[in-house]
Amino acid sequence: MNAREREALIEAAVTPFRERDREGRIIPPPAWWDLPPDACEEAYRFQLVTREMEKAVDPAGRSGTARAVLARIMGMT
Amino acid sequence: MTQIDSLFANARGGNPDAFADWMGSVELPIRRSLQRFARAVDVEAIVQEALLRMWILAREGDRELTGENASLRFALGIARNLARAEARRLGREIHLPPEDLPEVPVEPDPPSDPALRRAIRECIERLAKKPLQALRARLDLGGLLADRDIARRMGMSVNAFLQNIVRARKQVAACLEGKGFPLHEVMS
Repeated sequence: MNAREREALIEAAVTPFRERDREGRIIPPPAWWDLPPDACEEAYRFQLVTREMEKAVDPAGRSGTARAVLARIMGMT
Repeated sequence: MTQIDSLFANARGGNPDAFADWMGSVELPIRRSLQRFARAVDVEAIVQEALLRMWILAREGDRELTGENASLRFALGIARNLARAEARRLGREIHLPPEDLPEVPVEPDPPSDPALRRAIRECIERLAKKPLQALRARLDLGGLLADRDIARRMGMSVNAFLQNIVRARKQVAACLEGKGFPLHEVMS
């Protein structure tokens, strides 16, 4: 994997969007499975920054994680 | 009663807006508490699952939570247990931290830094067209849509979409650094 591919793979794991399996469990994005352990830590750090950026641009100050959970809640309510 | 406990009390009975306010005050401490699990599990999935379980507790909750920042401490426990269980389920126990490792103290989320958020917005607006479009779309829609769907809406391949975000992230990081907000501080 070259540096460019590695960066794209990490970026694909940074999104707050998560699919669910048949049992309703939240599952990692496909890219996460291909990340070596040190890249998993890098993805974690980029998630921290990205959630802060999401809050900065959202009118209600919510992160993508909060919006994803709220969307799920609204479906559950 | 701490502010976090007060926010959680407001969410009792199943008020999504009040729960969103509570999430805003605990998401970061929960995520930080999972740093040592980052090699073993997808931390984002664990954070979301822990928050959803807290919603169930808030909605149906006849369970009494006692003590200072009780809802945060309870959520941290859920997140930690979920992370361990998920690592075992995925066969990645080798990457788990030792069980007897002392817990890292986690403090409630400090109030947001308006200067940092303003700097982030300014740095984003300075981006070139395509990286700006890709990053804004991801920041606005990422919680609701998969990258493939966002990329399709923008007429980009998924790879081009991701490469534009990578470029945007590097430029924003350099811009924040120039404004006195080095990335390692934002991530700490």
